[in-house]
Amino acid sequence: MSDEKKILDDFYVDAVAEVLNVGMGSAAASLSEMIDDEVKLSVPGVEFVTRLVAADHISGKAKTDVSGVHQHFQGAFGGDAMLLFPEEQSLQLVRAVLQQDDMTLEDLTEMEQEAMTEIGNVILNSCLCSMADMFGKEMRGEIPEFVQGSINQVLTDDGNNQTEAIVLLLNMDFAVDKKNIQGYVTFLMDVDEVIQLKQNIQEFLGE
Amino acid sequence: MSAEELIESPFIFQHIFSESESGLVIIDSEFSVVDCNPWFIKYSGIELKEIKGKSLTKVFPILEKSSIERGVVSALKNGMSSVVSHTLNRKPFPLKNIAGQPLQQQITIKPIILDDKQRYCLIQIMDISASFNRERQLLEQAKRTKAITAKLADEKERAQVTLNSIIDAVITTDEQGLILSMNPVAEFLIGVREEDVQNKRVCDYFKLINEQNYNIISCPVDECLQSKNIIINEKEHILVGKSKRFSVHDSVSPIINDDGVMLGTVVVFRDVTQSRALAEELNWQALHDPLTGLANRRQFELDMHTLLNKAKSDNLKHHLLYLDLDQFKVVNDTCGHDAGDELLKQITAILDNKLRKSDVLARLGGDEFGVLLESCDAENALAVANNLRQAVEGFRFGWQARSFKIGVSIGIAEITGEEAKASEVLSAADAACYVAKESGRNRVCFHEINASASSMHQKEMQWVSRLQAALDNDCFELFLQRIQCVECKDSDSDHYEVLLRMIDEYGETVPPGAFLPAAERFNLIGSVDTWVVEKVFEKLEGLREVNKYPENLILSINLSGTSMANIDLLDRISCLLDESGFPAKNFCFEVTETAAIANLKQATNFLSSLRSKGCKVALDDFGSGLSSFAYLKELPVDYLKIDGLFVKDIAVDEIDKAFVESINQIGQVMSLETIAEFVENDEIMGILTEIGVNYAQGYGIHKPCSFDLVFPKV
Repeated sequence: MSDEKKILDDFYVDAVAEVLNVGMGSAAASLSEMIDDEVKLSVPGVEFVTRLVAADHISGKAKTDVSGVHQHFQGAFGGDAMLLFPEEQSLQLVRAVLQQDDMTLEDLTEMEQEAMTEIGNVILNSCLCSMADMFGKEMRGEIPEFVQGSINQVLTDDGNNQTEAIVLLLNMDFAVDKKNIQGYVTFLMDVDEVIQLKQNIQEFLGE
Repeated sequence: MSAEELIESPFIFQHIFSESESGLVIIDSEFSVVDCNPWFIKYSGIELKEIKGKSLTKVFPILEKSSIERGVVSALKNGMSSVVSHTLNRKPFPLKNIAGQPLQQQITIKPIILDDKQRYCLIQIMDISASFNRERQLLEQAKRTKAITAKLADEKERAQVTLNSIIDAVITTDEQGLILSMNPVAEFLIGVREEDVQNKRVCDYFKLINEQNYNIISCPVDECLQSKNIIINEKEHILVGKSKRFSVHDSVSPIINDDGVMLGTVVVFRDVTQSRALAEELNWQALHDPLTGLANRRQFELDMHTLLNKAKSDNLKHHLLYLDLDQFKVVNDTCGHDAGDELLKQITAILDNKLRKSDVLARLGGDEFGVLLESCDAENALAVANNLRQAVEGFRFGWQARSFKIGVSIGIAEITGEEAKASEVLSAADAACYVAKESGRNRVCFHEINASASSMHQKEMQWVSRLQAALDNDCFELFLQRIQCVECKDSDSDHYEVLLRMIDEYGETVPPGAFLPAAERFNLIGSVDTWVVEKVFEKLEGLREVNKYPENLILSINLSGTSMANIDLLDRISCLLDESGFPAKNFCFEVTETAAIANLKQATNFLSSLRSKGCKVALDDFGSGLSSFAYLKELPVDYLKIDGLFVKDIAVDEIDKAFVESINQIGQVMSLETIAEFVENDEIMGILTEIGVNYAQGYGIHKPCSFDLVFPKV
């Protein structure tokens, strides 16, 4: 952990956060247009943590199940991007977006999952695009998929099953339909990809 | 062609492209359609040539600024894949099926990058109409199920609250009679908790016994399970709870489903301990006399009815005794009702003590008792009756330092089974009792069909119609008998007692002794009294018209005991006095001592009223009641008429003389004037003068003669 922190010290992290905030701006604009209601997205915090720490953050103290959208990406650097919510929060999001206040978790059908996937897709694409733009490199995002389960299942069922994987974890706040919803964007990368990322950032900063 | 060759073949992908069951559209970096597959052509309804090489948004303007357009841009520019969901995407491709219905679409957009310079994107459209519809149906189904479930839960809750709230105890069982549930009332009455008895046999807890004989009653739940009928019982059941017993109404109903299958039973029962006790109490009260605790007339008649039916079938002899106490009224009137009540209780104990357990003793009225002697012949019945009579005779009733001797008159009638009604036997015994009373009280008399007194009693019945006719036709005549002042033999006062004679259909004069008892007994005496009063005033009016109204007149008119309660008569007298203007002091009203005593309070009121108007009042037949001095203080009277029975033998009987003396003395002390009746000769007159009696009346002085003869108009 401390090694990775050396690799990506606060200076780099701040740069990434700045770029991602730009991405969130365009994602919010797209989402607002999609659901015909104002959506505000902000990224109050960005950090590099281990997978386990990320898991703790996301599932919270109650260790509830999480649901969200998973999208594999490659190019300038590769990994798995995920937009994750504790289940109650994901429900809040769907309720807000679909404006169906009485919906329960059991009611989340394929259609709603698909809608959720699209929302995640928009956000993740924006994040990835903003980084691709920053690095002036090519990125390629795969088709997103809906994921659901315990945080450990979700964070390891990604093909990159490495306990030493590093997670770029973004706290994210949604404000939709007078509701505030907390979610997380994670970029799950192995050590090599983190080094790639660091090089890209260094190039971008002209170092 | 081998599989590998097939894969290598450039045509295979063309085939896949053509045969794909989803829409495929390829867009180049200029946003123009490179190609689209037959599926897309088919559902979009646009010719390939109209699409190929054209801008996507030109062909489908609806896609402008849509998620699809954004996805295509993202794929071409940034190499990003997108999902365009059905739910959020309001501007999909305008695709329709053969029926013309729009296709529900799920769209994915992927970049195809051949090299840096050649970028394309693939739009894949899947028809999800089927799954969309299925999902919508499922959702609706789920909503309905949810609503039904919620409703069921509500119903269950309501039923549960209802069961817990009602005052009835309810137990449900399964089809084998095992307990499923029990409400709190059932728990309380049986004395168990629901959780302790669930799945146990209900008959082990719902135990009933018969109220009368305490026999165990077979479990109605078993009966219901076998018969599939509702079993209801509203009497005689006692529930044997764990610690207490309750009188209950209970019912067991089968629960049968639409297919006729028995699902179980519902046992409902209610604690009726209090109401049943109350009903029993009321029932007892309806058939018993609250004072003595004996059967009342109704119960007695029921018992008699039973015995009558029995007599018809067996050859045994049964007898009925009718008892009438002789001195009850005296006790009641002189000492008050408390004393009367106490006397009745003590007499009850005495009578009860002399009877067999199987005999029925009942209180039939005020001082009348009835005894049913089952399987008892005439001789024994007579013995029992005499036993009772002697027991009462030997009894002294003490009340506040006073002692009363009580007698009882008893009539006996046989129950032969030939009588049509119980009342027939009762009136036969009543008639016999009447004979016993008439024969001098405190004796026993057997009912005989030809008994003279009794048949006279029956003959009285005939008098009713004769009396009524006489009243209607004015067939009565007023007679007068002078009342002579003893000291002032030569005084010119016209003091007479008014007497009544009836003229029968043959013109014969009938003495009052023949018709007055009947008039008294059949409630005609009031009419007779009124007739007399009105007639007297009519006669006097006649005299006044011819200026012959006697100046110092005192007419003594007899009133019956019944009239003492007749306010109308009192009003009539007042009215006649007012209308005629005759001096009230010209009129004296006589009532017999016994009649006055029998209705002491009413008599006192009645007589006081008359006196207040200025009329005189005389107490007739004084002395015959024996115990009567006590009444004198109560009664407002002017004259005491000494009973003629004491007077007529005064010359020969020292006791009678002493009697007359003492009565006279009491009268004088109380400032009353005394009148001796039955003065038949001068000898008697001499003795009366000696004693100091004020007035005398009798055949020796003046024989009664017609009013018109005493006061002729001409």
